[in-house]
Amino acid sequence: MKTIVMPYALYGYPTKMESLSLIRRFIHSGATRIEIGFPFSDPVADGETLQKANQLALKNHPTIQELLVDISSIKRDHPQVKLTLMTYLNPILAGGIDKTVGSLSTHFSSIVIPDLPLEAYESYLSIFKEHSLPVVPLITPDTSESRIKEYCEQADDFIYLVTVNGITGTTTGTKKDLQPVLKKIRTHYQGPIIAGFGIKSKKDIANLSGTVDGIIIASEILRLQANGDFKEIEALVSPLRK
Amino acid sequence: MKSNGYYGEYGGKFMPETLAGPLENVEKAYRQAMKDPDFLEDLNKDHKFFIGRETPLYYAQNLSQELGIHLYFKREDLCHTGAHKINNAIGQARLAKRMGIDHLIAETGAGQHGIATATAAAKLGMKCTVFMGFSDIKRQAHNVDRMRMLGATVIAVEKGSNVLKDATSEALRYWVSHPTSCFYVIGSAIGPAPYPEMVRNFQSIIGTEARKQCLNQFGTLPDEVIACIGGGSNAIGIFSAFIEDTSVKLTGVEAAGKGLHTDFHAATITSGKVGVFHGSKMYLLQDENGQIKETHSISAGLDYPGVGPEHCYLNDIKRVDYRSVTDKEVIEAFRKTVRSEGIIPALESAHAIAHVLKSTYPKGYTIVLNLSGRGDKDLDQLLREHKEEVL
Repeated sequence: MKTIVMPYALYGYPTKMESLSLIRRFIHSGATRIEIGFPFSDPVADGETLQKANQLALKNHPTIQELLVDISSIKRDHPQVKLTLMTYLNPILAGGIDKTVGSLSTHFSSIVIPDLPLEAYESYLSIFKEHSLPVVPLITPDTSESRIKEYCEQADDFIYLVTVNGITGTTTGTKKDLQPVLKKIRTHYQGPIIAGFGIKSKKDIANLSGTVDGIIIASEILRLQANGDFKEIEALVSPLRK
Repeated sequence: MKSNGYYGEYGGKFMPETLAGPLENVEKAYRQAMKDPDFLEDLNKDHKFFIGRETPLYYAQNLSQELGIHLYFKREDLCHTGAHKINNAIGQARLAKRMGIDHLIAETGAGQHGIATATAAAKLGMKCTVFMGFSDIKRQAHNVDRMRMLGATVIAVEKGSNVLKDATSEALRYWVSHPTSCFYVIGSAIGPAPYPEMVRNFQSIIGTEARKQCLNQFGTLPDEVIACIGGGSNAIGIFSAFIEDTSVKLTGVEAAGKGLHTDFHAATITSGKVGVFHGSKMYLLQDENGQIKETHSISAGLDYPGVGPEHCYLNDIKRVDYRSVTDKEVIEAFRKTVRSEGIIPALESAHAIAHVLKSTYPKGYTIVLNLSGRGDKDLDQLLREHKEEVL
């Protein structure tokens, strides 16, 4: 199994322009899938690094409309790259969910919403389906078999496997053996499984390589971005192609 | 009225997947506990011997005389720990114990819910961690010392606006990171299902007692029941017994802070917009991009941008009338209550009193007001910031 790295950029962090140039850098490093975060004031599933980045990004007053305009040239130049939006539910609801999802579907292949679990699918999933913007389910090692089955039935672009009980960028989250949950997912779903949360080193990547289709790296990339370690980012994004 | 954790369109479970299992366990344990005579008996004993219930329904004679009405205070300020919060904290702590979890976590604004949880933890021999916004720690230093004295670890949250919403976010993150080893004791009628219902039920003792006391003390139901509202736990607690009594007007009083025309208030129902936050669909103070606004209130306990889903529903069906009062009106109501009745109300509760003072009622109108807590915790802040107005 070939495992790709799916890097993360937060729109508006540290500025809108710099987040866009980071996305272009990912593409030049060989990224085929990119996760783009849209900032939220109270990201409850995120750790320290992403919280701070969200706060800073919000100072630049990002809007979803602006993001779409800014992303359009990247999509035009690199139509083959799959972009996934990651944000919380409230920014999606604020401008009218139907209108927002409709416009997002023009540039994004899928969307990750940490506070939209199975229980809330009944209220909102049909809107995303109508606009062909798949909602990526987040499955944890402790997710029950029946929930996994339901998530798998609804999954389209990929499944996001949360590798730890914890928040993004965690150093304290409980590490879990992923084999049992991977087996359960594979029973019901044949598409890509991409793992994330708390993956930061080449060793982490090596450990997961071959067991999942992709690895999302977010907090670590933001940390490297803040330090200007772009060579390091490049190395993280492309190692598995070598 | 309610199905699957929803009140009309409000409520629900909008939480990270990690909490799906723990929430299911909480709900299962709660449903079983509420049918278990032993659990209910323990709770009953706690009410009587630990909290000091029932709390009196006190006739505020001097204010009544001055206003030409009959004003009664439901004296939750006389609960052990000084506020209504203990009713819910002891219930949830017992639930956690029953589930075999011995670490309680809680968020707190004014500190009352933190103290109540730390108190329940001490009584039941449990570990307790309280998350409190850094600004609130400064406002309520005395309460921080009390929590520490009770054996709790107080985590200062220096994020966002450093107040209640940020403490709640941080407590949720901690729960996501320790989903099976700790129990999140949510202090208000907010959060993912089953919390709003659970908090309402643990607080419904206020309404049950008040209704009975009305009938015993003046032979009829009141014309109106009034309570202050942040997240809405004391209000839903007292309203719950009167919702079916359509002759009784119900009024919730929000924090208008420095005025609704400014950005410095926490009047969620009065000027919020529907959204999803902290696990629930509710009215929210948010900007046009769905970012949660920073709120302001003189009272740390009302300084929250959301409000319980049941309140949102009761507003929509027009069963409860939601109003707001400013910090300035609150300080005046606080001073007046202290001088007229010899009772120092919490600044939160003083919001409800301020609404009464500025309203006009027919002669002989009967009001039951939930005096949700005592104001000792607010004295340092008042003497520091409003000395001339209160002395």
